[in-house]
Amino acid sequence: MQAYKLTLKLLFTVMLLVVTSSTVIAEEMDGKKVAFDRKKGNCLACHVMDNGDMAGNIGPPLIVMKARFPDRAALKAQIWDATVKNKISIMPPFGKHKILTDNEIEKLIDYLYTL
Amino acid sequence: MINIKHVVLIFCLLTLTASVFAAKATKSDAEESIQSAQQLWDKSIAVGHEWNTVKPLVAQAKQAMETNDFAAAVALANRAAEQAELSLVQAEHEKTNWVNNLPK
Amino acid sequence: MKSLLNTLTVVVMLAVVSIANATPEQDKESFQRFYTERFPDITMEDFGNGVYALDQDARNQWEAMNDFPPYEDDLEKGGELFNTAFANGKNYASCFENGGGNIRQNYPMFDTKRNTVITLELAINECRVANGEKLLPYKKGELAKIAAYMTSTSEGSPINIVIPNNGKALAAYQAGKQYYYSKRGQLNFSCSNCHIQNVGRKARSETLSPALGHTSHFPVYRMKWESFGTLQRRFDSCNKQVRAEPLEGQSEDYRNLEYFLTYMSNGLPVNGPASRK
Ligand code: HEC
Ligand code: HEC
Repeated sequence: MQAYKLTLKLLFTVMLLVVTSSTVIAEEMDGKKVAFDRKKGNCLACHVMDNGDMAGNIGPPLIVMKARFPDRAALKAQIWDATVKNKISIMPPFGKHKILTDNEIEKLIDYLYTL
Repeated sequence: MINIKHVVLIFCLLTLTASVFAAKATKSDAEESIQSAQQLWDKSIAVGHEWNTVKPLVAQAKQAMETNDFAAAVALANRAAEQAELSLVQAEHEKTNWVNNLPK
Repeated sequence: MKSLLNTLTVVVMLAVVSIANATPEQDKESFQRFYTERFPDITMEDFGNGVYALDQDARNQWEAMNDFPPYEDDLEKGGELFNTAFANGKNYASCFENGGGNIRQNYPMFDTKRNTVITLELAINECRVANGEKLLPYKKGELAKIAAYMTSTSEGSPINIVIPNNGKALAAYQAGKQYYYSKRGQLNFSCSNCHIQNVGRKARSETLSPALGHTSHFPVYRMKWESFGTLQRRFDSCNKQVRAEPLEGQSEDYRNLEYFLTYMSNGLPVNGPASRK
């Protein structure tokens, strides 16, 4: 009986390990980092936001986001592929072109809603 | 004498072996993925819309292949293929969309 | 009602087709007008100074630097190379009209026998090969120095690109034009997204320069490169920014792009070589 219990415990542990190690454990990045990092969102290249350094002025300032984007889906759509609304938008299609992952975009949006 | 513990035990063993096999990409899987990524990449060059993100992904996939990490090779090659494919979509779209960019 | 709609559709389609297929002359006029209306205080000539025509602070620094131009030594070297005879006793001057002096403003030109665009850099290398010398690498190094020297002999001459009224020449021009306005790279930018649509705005701390005058001063000595680079080397930098893979130097696409872009600046004086950040 005792032996069974042990084996079971062991097996479960091994299973858990296999499952977690096969899902890629991506390095966690918070939303602000995604927005500011030049290799990620680089939103500062074009948008004034959150007192970020050396912000560009190509796009509108990202402020009072909650009031202006009550619909989360609409905000996500703009980030996913800005060319849907404006065919020649200079804003990169972050989701469509796999510049950011879905997870990164969700975190980015959480962060934008604090602005 | 079969009791519930046996069943659980056998079930666990089965899932374990299955999950180990599922995660295990073979060398030929990796070769295949790299080859199809390469083909899409070549096409994107031919239409003049190569993204510079594709080359490093293919190189990393080949590197993973050399260290026998076939699962990583497949994953990287698939990302390369996906991006090369997107660049082909871009090329096709721009065949007509470019006109919208003219100065107004 | 239906026929009215049909007529409307046809009219709209014609309008779209006509901007896409306007003559080079019409394109150039609307291109130049875009900038002169946008920046009425900037003289035609000053557009050749790129970002320094728009940004006074940057201009002050740039002018201070140009008291002792960083490219002086390389330019002098270019002159020496140009005047050094090949092994067969001939020299570069023998390959060009007017002995290679004051001709920069005519390049790139369309060769109607070979049906292709000939840039100055291509012509320099072809001159070498015709005289039994080896090809020099494009984009930088000795070739860029020689081209810089040749450019300096054209100082002040108005850019004078000719597009022969022939199907092949027009097709080359059209291909260059389409390249310029097409979005590319993972970041999905066209050249015009930055240099036309958002001209004068800032990407981070970089002011985006007008495309009018973009070709008037190349090769450019960039502080970042610490050397001369040809126009096509600059194309590479801009392509990399948008995550597009740069093309080979003197590839057909780049030559066509250079042809289109230089034609857009017809009439502006050559003012190179120049220095840039
Ligand atoms: C290359 C310039 C550029 C970059 C980089 C960029 N944007 Fe934009 N963005 C724009 C422009 C231009 C607009 C105006 C609408 C349009 O043309 O799509 C815009 C619009 C927006 C809007 C709508 C704003 C409003 O007030 O209507 C949001 C939200 C936004 N961007 C978020 C972002 C985020 C988040 C990032 C970074 C992940 C980002 N942008 C990166 C150029 C850029
Ligand atoms: C993301 C914006 C962006 C895009 C897209 C872009 N450029 Fe640039 N380009 C710049 C910046 C920034 C500079 C350096 C500062 C300046 O002159 O604007 C520059 C400089 C240049 C210069 C040199 C200007 C000078 O005064 O010497 C040329 C020529 C040029 N770009 C051509 C192109 C061409 C051709 C394309 C398309 C293949 C292109 N650019 C696309 C941002 C861009």
